[in-house]
Amino acid sequence: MTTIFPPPQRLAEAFVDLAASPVTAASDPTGLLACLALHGSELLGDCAAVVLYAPDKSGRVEVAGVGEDLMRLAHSAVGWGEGPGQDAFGGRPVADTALDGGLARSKWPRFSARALELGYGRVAALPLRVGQEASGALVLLEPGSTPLLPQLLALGQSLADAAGWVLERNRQLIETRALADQLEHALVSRVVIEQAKGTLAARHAISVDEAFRVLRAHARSNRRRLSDVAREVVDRTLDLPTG
Amino acid sequence: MATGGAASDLIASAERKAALARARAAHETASAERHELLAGQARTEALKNMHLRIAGVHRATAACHLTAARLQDDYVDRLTGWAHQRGTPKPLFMSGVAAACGTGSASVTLVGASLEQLALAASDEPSRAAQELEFLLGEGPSRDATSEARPVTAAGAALRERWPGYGSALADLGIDAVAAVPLSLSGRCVGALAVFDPVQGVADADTFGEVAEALTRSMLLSPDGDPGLYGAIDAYAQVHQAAGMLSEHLGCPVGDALELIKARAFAESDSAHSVAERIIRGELRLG
Repeated sequence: MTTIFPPPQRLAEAFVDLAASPVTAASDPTGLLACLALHGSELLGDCAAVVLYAPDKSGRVEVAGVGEDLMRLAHSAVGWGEGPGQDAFGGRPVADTALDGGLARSKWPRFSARALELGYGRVAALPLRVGQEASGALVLLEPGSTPLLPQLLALGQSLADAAGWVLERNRQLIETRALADQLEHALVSRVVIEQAKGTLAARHAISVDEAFRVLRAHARSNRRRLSDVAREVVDRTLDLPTG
Repeated sequence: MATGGAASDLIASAERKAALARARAAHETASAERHELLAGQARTEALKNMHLRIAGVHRATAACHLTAARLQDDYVDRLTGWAHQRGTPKPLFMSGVAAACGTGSASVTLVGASLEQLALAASDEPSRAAQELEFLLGEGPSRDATSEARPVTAAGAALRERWPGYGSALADLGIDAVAAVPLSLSGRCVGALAVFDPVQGVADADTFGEVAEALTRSMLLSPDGDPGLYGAIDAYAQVHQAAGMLSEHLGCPVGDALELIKARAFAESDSAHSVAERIIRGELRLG
């Protein structure tokens, strides 16, 4: 394999690319995970790269990579639940390993056999860290028997870290938006419910506490949200008879 | 939203939040250190810069979590003192927020998508009165900080020039300077923190910004936060009840009724609460 470290300009482009990639499904060829797999293959000598990513806690694993055989291998590995990628999910890298060696054959019997058939001789896996946890892995496969060099694995880890950073920011963004929506919904609901209490109280000459009981009873017996019922009362599209 | 409770419950809750904020700060610091180490080992400028940039964000976030922890510590101290001195008013979380900004007067305003004020909390009477003015007049620093999504400061004559109604009324309250910063995270703004008459040299605009971010991260937009600020947030419940009643009396939209209540309160130099109470008791009919 070539041992030349990529030129700085090429590296800078890769990081800019990763930072600008949208976080989409792994199957999206313009998305972040495909971008990581592509740069992994192009920058790290002549090895092949696949990315495994678990977007949530459901156990579902997405796969991104280039080449039909390679993708089939990666999908199979996910199905078998074995392989260096899954091992790196724990957060520790899987060092360069010979696929025809005893270690690979005992730890990943099906994965190593299939990878050898495809012409790969060495494998390593780097954790894709997102925040506090490893949520995926960058798996590097080397044709032939030359070991994957430590400095290239270090570069691969930096690429994975850059992608992990984008994923972490995206996760925070989604969480923040959801919490902001919840907060706003809670506050707006509160306002509408108070307005509806006043509206009903004036409409039927009852107290605001009594008006609230009427609202709540209607929402419960019709299995509707209190805030929706309140909104209709305020908009005068719903009138509630009082006992 | 949590409501107020016994001192021991509030202390336990604040201590839990302080511990969480410290754990988050420690994690952010560890992440920053890892990236600083990687930057040191980087073989190219591009790699080094990427790691330094990420480390910088982690460092800033760590500092923000520590500020959040200190706000909780301060509240624990106030509650502990209060628990030993029954009969005194329950301490407010906002008092510590104000103190962190170098003043006794600070307010939090939470807004909706169209920037309408939905809930408010204040540390003392002057800040509560100032907030009421913004609510009644629909102009002021908190509104501008949220609509412009940037910090706003004004003092002296500039107050009146910028906000003719609000500025004059603020001067009548004896307030001479105001600063407001948006309460926002990941580009989403949920309100503003306003600081009144901060003591010069005690805190600066950066401090206000950091306190605002700490509040947003730890209390307003946190899965284990408390957007009700320990039961101190005021959602203007009675004012909205009165607006509902008035809209029924007048057959007008509830938004118009709310504006009538605000106008009446401002004209009578009264609070919206007080006008609302009179409407609810049937003592006042507007329109």
